[in-house]
Amino acid sequence: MQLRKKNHTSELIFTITLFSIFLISSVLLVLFGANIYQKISAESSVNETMRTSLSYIQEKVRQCDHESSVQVENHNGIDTLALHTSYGTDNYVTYIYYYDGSLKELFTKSSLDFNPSAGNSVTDISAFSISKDSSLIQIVLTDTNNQTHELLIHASSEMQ
Amino acid sequence: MKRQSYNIRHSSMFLIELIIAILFLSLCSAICIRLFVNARLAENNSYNITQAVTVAQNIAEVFEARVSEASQSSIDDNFLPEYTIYYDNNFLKCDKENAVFSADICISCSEYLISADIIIAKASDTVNSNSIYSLHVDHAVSTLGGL
Repeated sequence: MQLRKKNHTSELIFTITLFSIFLISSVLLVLFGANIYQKISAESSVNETMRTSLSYIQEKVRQCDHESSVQVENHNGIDTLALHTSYGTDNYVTYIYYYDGSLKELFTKSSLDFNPSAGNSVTDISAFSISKDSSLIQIVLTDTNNQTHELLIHASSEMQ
Repeated sequence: MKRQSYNIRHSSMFLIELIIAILFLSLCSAICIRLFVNARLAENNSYNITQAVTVAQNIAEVFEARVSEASQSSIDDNFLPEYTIYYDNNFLKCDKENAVFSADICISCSEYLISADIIIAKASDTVNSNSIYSLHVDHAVSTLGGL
């Protein structure tokens, strides 16, 4: 009787252990899946955002690639990519720059002062640098994952 | 006595049921983990292609800029027919020893056309096998100078 009772207890412990393993494995599998999904989703989102931002800058430069209209200018210590255009008799400028943790764009009249806080946010980034060597514009963006992306644009109007 | 026998049988049935459930869970886990790994690999592959496109476009822009500059005066002897640039895991330039990816640039010219073939591949691969991305650039020039 005693042996049977002992046997029954060990069987119960074994069953409970097995059931615990089942539960822990299920939870771990769900956590693992959620973690991987989150990671993939976050990385592909950053990847897509950066690609879009770089393409956006590239297209903007292409769009304004007229004689001396693509300039690298420094306003109040902020490096900006200044794209000059004129509509009728008025001259306008589009500034692309880094301010307050994001890449910003500001479209304004050339005669007005540069106000960095007035720009629209394009995307969140952690660093931005821009330089121009002859006809080649170099833009280096650092995304929120601290990954650096480099973009080189040849301004063909500078060769004319 | 009968009741005890019924309990033992019932307990055994539950145990068998649990073991079958665990086996089923293991099978599902194996399939799920395989899917997760595949998703991760696909994501990595997508990242590599995106970076390779950007790198190839950057090289094409530099090529355009240099050829435009050269065609205005004369193309100097620094224009080599073949270049290789090495990149690390994050597509940052590095030396050959630490390279994970490479960009092979092959420059050729005809009478009024100067072309570049840009091939981004894994550094261990040969140029034509398993390339991640390739780009062909043509630039029309009026005078090719000494090239």
